[in-house]
This record gives sequence, C-alpha cells and structure tokens, in this order.
Amino acid sequence: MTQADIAPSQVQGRPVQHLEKNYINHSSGIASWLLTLDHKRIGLMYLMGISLSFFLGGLFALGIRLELFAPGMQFMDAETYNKVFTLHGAVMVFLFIIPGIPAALGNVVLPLMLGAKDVAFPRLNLGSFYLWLSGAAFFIYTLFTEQLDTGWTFYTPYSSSYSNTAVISATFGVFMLGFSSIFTGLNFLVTIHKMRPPGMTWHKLPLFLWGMYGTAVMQLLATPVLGITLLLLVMETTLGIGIFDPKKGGDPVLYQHFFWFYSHPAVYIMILPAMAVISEIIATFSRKHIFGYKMIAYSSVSIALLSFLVWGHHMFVSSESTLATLIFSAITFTIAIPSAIKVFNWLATLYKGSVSMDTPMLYALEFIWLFTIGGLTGLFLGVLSTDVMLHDTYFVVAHFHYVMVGGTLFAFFAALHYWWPKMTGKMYSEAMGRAASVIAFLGFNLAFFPQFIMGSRGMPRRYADYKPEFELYHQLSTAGTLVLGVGIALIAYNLIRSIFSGAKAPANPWGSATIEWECPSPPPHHNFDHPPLATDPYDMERVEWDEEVKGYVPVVGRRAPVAH
Amino acid sequence: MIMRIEALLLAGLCFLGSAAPNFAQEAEAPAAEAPTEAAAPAAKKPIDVDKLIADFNAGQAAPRTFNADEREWIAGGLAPEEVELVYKGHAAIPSGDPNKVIYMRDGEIHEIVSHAKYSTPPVAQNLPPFATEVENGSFWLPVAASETAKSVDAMFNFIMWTSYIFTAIIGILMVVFCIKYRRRPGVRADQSITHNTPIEIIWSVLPTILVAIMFWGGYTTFLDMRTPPPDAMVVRANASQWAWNFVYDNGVESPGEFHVPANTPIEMMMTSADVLHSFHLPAFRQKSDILPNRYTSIWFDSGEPATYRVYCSEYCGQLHSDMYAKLVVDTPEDYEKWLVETGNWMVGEDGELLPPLEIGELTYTRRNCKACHSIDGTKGVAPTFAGLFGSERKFADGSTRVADADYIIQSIREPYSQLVEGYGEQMTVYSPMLPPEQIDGIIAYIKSLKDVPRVD
Repeated sequence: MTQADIAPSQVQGRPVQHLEKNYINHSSGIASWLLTLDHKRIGLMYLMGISLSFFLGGLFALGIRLELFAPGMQFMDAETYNKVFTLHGAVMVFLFIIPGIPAALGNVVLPLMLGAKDVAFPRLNLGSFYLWLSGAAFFIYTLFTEQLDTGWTFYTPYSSSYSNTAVISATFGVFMLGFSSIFTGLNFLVTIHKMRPPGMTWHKLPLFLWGMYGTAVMQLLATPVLGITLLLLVMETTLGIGIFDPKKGGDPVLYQHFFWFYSHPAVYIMILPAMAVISEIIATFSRKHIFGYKMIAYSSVSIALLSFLVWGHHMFVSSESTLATLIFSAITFTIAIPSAIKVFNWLATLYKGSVSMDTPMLYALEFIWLFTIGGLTGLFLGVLSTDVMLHDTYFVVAHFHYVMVGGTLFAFFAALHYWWPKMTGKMYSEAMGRAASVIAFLGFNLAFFPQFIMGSRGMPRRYADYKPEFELYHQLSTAGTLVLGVGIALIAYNLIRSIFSGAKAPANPWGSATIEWECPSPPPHHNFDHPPLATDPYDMERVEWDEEVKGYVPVVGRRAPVAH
Repeated sequence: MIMRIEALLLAGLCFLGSAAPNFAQEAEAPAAEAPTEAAAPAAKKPIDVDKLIADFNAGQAAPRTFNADEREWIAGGLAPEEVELVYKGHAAIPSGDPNKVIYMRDGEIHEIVSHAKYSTPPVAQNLPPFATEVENGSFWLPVAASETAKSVDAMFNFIMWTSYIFTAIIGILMVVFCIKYRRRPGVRADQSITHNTPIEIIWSVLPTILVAIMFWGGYTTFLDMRTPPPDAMVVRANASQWAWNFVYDNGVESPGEFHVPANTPIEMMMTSADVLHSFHLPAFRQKSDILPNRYTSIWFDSGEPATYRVYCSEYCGQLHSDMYAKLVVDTPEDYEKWLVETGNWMVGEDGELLPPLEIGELTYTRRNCKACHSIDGTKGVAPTFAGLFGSERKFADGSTRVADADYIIQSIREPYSQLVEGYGEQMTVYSPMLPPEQIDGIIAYIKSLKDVPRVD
C-alpha cells in the first residue's frame, strides 16, 4: 500500500467523499482484475457476467414472445421453440437470478456493510467466480452444439433417455454453477459470523445481511443435493444406470423429489436477497427506522428454514400420495405468513416517514406491488383443489414471473441503482432512471397479467402453438414484453452513460445509516482506514443532508468516535 | 424471416395505440402470402358428397339442404353433421393444407397460417379451433362442468376476493403513505414508530386464519377429486409421444378421442409408454401427471352431453403443444352407438374385414405413426415410410438388412433390436398391443409407398 492510498478519513470535519486512488484504479492491467482477491472487483466481474447472461436470456424471452404472437408457427419450428424456452429458463435461473443479488451485488456490499476489508476467504471468492465462469462456458458450449430442449427442470425420463440435445454439457454447467453458489454461501456465512465490527450484535445487523445470511444457509445446505441429482442424471445418460428412467428400472418421480428439494429453496435463494434489499431501501428513502426489525429479521431465517420442507408442493399432481400432499400444502401456508409480515412491515415503515421517490425507492415500491400479486397468486397454487387445475398452466408461469421478475429482478434493479454510486462513484440521471423504472413496471404488468387469465382458463405452459381463443392474451403479453424490453434498454443506457458522463457521487447520496456509506465513493482498495463502530443501522437521524457535498454526512456529536 | 420479425416488432409497437384484432390480421398477412410447400396429402378416395348428405338426411326428421360452400366442406372431408358446428367455431373448415386452419367466428372466416418451413403436421388437426368451455366461461375460468368443478371454483373465488382485498389495501396504503408523507423541507420522519406488538400480532394472526380456511377447504375438495365413487366407469388412457389412446373395459380402443355416457362418474386410469405426460381437463378442473412406470387415476362426473378438450400439460418433447384429445359426453344411446362403431373400425359396410391396405392406412393415423414417420419422403423423428419397402437399411451397429415384411414386423414389435443409423430410441414398443390385422395393414401400406422418393 503506498502512501497515496491512505487518505485522511476526515476533511474539515466531514468524511472524505472521493479518493483519487480507489479500488477501480489503484492497480491496472488485465491480470490485476482476473487475479484480484478484492471482493469489489470480483463483484464487478460477476455483475458484467450476469448482465451478459441476462441479455442472452432476454433475447430468448423475446423469441418466445414473438413466436407466440399469433397461433400457428411463425418463425420457429416446435423443436426450436422448445430449445428457446428451455434456454430462456436455464440461463435466467442458473446464470442470472440465483447469482444475481448475492454474488454480484452482495460481493461488493456485504464486506462494506460489515466495515470489513474483504470477505473471510478472498481466494475462495475468486474461485467461485471462476466456477461460475466455467459453468457459463458449459452453457455457451451447449448453445453451439445441440442446445437443450428439456425445460430448465431436466425432468426425467425425457432428459435422460429421449432428448437428442446436449443434456450432459448443460447439466455439467449447472453442476459447476452449483459449486460456485455453495462457495459464495459458505464465504458469506463465515464472514457474517466472524467479521462483524465492534458494536454489531446480531440485533444490530442490517436487514440486508440477515437476508444474505438466510440465503447463505440455503445455498450451503440445498445446492449439494442438486449437484448429486445432476450427477446421477449424467450417469444414467452415459452409463445406463437405472435411477430415474423406468425402462432401466428407475423412477422418474424420484428425480422430481431430488430436484425440488434443491429448487424450492432455490426459489428463496432468489427472493430472500431481494426482500433484504427492499428492507434497506424502504427505510433509507423514508428516512425512518425500519418497522418491526426483529420480525423482518426472524422472518428471513424462518423462510430459509421452512423452504426446505415444502418441495412437495411442486408435485401435487405427480402421483404424490394424499397424505404427502396434505403435509406439503399445510407447510406451504406457514411460509406465506413470514412473507406477508414483511410486506406489512414495509408499509408501516412508510407511515409517518419522509418519503422521497428516488429511482431505487420507485423500484422498491413497484416491488411491493408486484411481489404482493406474486405472493397472493401463490395461494391459488398452495391450495390443493385449485392447484390441480392451475398446475402447469400459464397461471404458474405468470405467478413465478411476478415473483422472480417482478420480485427479484425489480429488487435487483433497485439494488443496482441504490449501490451504483458506491460501486462506480458516479450518479446516473435520476429523471431517466425514474422513467425507465415506470416503463419497465408498466411493460411487466402488461406482459404477465394476461398470463394469469389465460392460465386459469386452461392454457398449458411450454406450448409452441395454441388455439385461437388464447390469442388476445398472448398478443397483450407480447406487447408488454416489448415495452419491458424498452424499459430495460433504457436502464442499461442510463447506467452505462453515467460511467462516462455522470456526476461524481458523494459518499452517502441517499442518507442511509448503514456502514458501507461511510467510506468514500468508490471505496478505496482496503475499504476503511479504521474499523468503524456499528450502532443501530436504522438510526437515520445520525446522518443529515449537507448541501456542500450534495450528500449526507454524520451529525456531529451524535455518533460515537471511531474506535482505534 | 427477418422481414417477419420486423413485421411482428412493428405490430407489437403499434399495439399500444391500436386495437388487437386489426394488427393481428396485419401480422398474419405476410404468412398468408408465403409460399406453401405443403406436402400433398396422401391420395384419398374421392368423397361422394351426395351419398353422405343422403345418409345424413336419412337420420333426420326434416332433411337439411346444403349450400355450395357446405358441399365443398363435405367434399373436403367434413362430416355433414359437423356443418352446423362450423358456424359456431367448433369445427374447422377443411383447408386441404396441413399448415392452414380455417375457422369461422361470428360469421367471418379466419385463418391460422403456419409458415410451411416451421410447421410440423399437427397431430390433432381435426380438433375444433375453439373450446366451448373456454369460450363460454367467465373472465377467469372456463365453464364448470361438474359439481366438483363448482366447489373448486368456489375456493378459487374465495382466494381471488381475498387477493383483491389485500392487493387493494396494500396498494392504496402504499400510494396514500407515499403522497401524504412525501419528503418536505423541515418535516422530519417520526422516529418513534419502530414496532407495535398488538398490530404485529393482528397482521400475523389474521392471515394465518385466512390461509387455514383455504388450506382446509382445498384439502377436503381435493380428497373428493382424488376418490372415485365405487361405481365409476373406468376408461384407460395410454399416453405416448404425442398421442392419446383410450381403452374401454370391453377392449375397444379409440385414439385421440373418447366418448362417455352423460351423468356418469368416469374414472381415468392412465399410464404412459415413454416420457411424462399430463391429462389436463380444464372444464372438470382435473389434472394428473401420467407416468411411464405406474398408473395414476382421476375421476369426474360427466354431466350433460357436450364436447371438451383434453390437453397434455406436462412437457413431453417436440410436439407437446399438439397433444390434444377430444372428450365427448354423449347420451347413453349415442354412446352405445359410438362404442359399437369404434370397436368395429376394421370392418367395412359389408360386415367383412377391410382390405389390409385400408386397415394399414387407418392404423397409420389412428396409432399416430404419422407423428414421426412421414409418407412423403421427408425426414422426421423416425425414418420415413416412403420408399422403405425393399430398400437396404443400415443400422447403428454397422450391419445392413433389406426391409422386407419380417423386418417391419420386428421393427414394430421390438423396435430397439436393430436401430437404424442416425435415429434414437423413440418408438413405442407395440409387441403386446398391435393385433396381426393391423401389422399386416401397416406392411401393406408401407409396400404401397414403395415408389415414393425419399429424402433421408
């Protein structure tokens, strides 16, 4: 570390807002990025990787919607369509949503939020990025060979014995991505346990970290099951060992049990970090202490634990026994309660707050609306009698898009806009940010709400072609997708433009009281000169607006002095 | 293709400012002009329209006269009794083009055109374009055809209203709070509100009670849906890639379509020959996956005479979206009549067995050989039948053999014993299921296609 890296932590009583040398420019050259152990750089590389994956998955989505614009086959044959919907699902789930918030944004933010220099195991962190990259490479290989047409769920015996596509390379890709996820989870779990700053007791832990903690537990415990399942699938396909294919003496429903034992917790691996982001943003932009801190924190952990006990609700019509359906349906409802509690707590946080509608907040509010619809429509699928008719229809497609896109993707955008100034040191155009957010929100609803209606009217999912009675809904949906696409393109343009021409970001542009906003934007290589002292992360009055730095600074005298 | 995507994109954007149906037609226009290289349908015997009409009128109290259009439809293969259905949109007008579906809506003719290059011959071509149950349903749901379906709907509506109320409360509070407590200079947030135990208990307990009601109501109805009455009539459904075959207790088999008597509890006993499928019957709110290694069963009360659509709702490969079946609820008399006719499909009007070639041609359609084996020489999931007979086959293990009658029998009964090079294990194993008349028929049919040139 050179002398230039170490800057005084305060200038004229205010914390330093910008540093000449920060983590982005403190060393240069390709190797300084590819071999970096800096969590922030690894996070940025993840962000680029998952953004490209999102773009790829988005292209497939566009293909699906354009083909479904009218009944009859337009510009793909059924085989191509099957590949396109499979690749859309697989790329979006495994390459984008699961690593999205934890690996990309979590990597940048989590150590900063703890006032730590890095995660507990920086080398493992770089390793998990390279595992992600090799998983992605397997997917790219799959794309350039025979692609994949099994659906992202790889249901047997179609995947193991009937599909003529590159199932093995795709499953190996998912296998790799699984290990990437496990290592990230392990790393975060240890980091949160062992590297909290002085003063940060469990009940002073920011809610984002509670969410990441729950996520890490699920990643660590559930993902190995997916790895084993896919390995068994590969062994059946290559060696002919009968595990899932009845022709070889196996059982296809066994595969579904294994698969959903991972993939149901995976649903919460996707949504828990999203909820965690929303808790931070709602409190910050209301300038108010989060309502029901303990309830939100405990609901994250209870969601993480209960998520292991509900996998059977994906199989109510897969010949599951009546007793099993009874149990799984009952436990499914217990998981609905903590989710509902979070929504009520966010609303109560707005109450008597000082609400500003900046871009991240707009996304957070849109999240509440979309997640409410996504969550409530989950009730139809948890209730046994209504699930029978809705299972495998577009109702399910709409439901999980409301949760995964309306929930996780919108929370991802919220988080991206929230922490963007910290990550890049640049402010994006607020007006364009808000406009893009509203366009994406309207487009999303137009794209997916009609799918609820056609689903409950009987339209099955994964259909390359459909009957004319569903035409109107499909056309609305396609139109909505195009609007959503415009919104997302605008988001990308706004953020990329800010890197080149955005105003310099202050250390704390939004007025949050969590620790990551105490270091300059962007942070230096080592994050903090001195380990910060943590207090209540939602004591918003601890910081106040400072016109000179165009950001928030600590209120003099309210905060305990920095510990040396 | 690029032009097509642009047209669709443009149409999609126009959509925001215009009404849906208009530009749907705009979007369809280029496809209609696209050259159709549709394979010529297999040579069929010319249809004697007058005779069909005479037969139809013989069974009617008052004879019906058919106009020129209707006579053309009948000549194209439509049954005279289906003519009325065309006007309701519940039967398609014969188009003579496998890539084109023509149907009538509100007196107007509509077309669904698939681009010839991307279209696969639909398995369920004769299926009505419009399902009555969907068309006559409510905003959210198709028609409820049984009491069980009605009690499912009651739960659906209960959850729907709960959702409306909660979404409204959450949405309104959110907007009101955001406006009322918007950031204003000099106004600070009230930091004293961090928790409120009574409110938190209320908003935890109230949803718990609501979901408990939903859970219990859903479970009891589900038990009814999964427990057939002891006197239920059993129909077996055998699903395979991409066809349905329904088998009755007396051994009668019916592919793609099944009839049941009205107001009778029907139990479906289902199994699959290959991958997972799912029997999805929206009008009765019933569904069950179909598995290759076990039987699954559901039941429904058939209710009044009507026609319903059955979907396969578990992804099963290439032609998943064409795997429909038709359920017809008949009066007991019509049902008996249909059962006898269907059971005797290999018997001609003279009471004698049809010639093998005709049986073979019918078997080709009924057993859905056509889903994989083409007859026009094009390569499909499986080898084409065209020019097959007498040709030399090359197998995956490098051996060769002339395709004679013995070879065809072996390929039907033990399809995996000698796999033709370049093809996978896809074929349904027919060893116990295909009677000798039909095997002979298939041999005769393949023999008749001997001189059609092949592409593979």
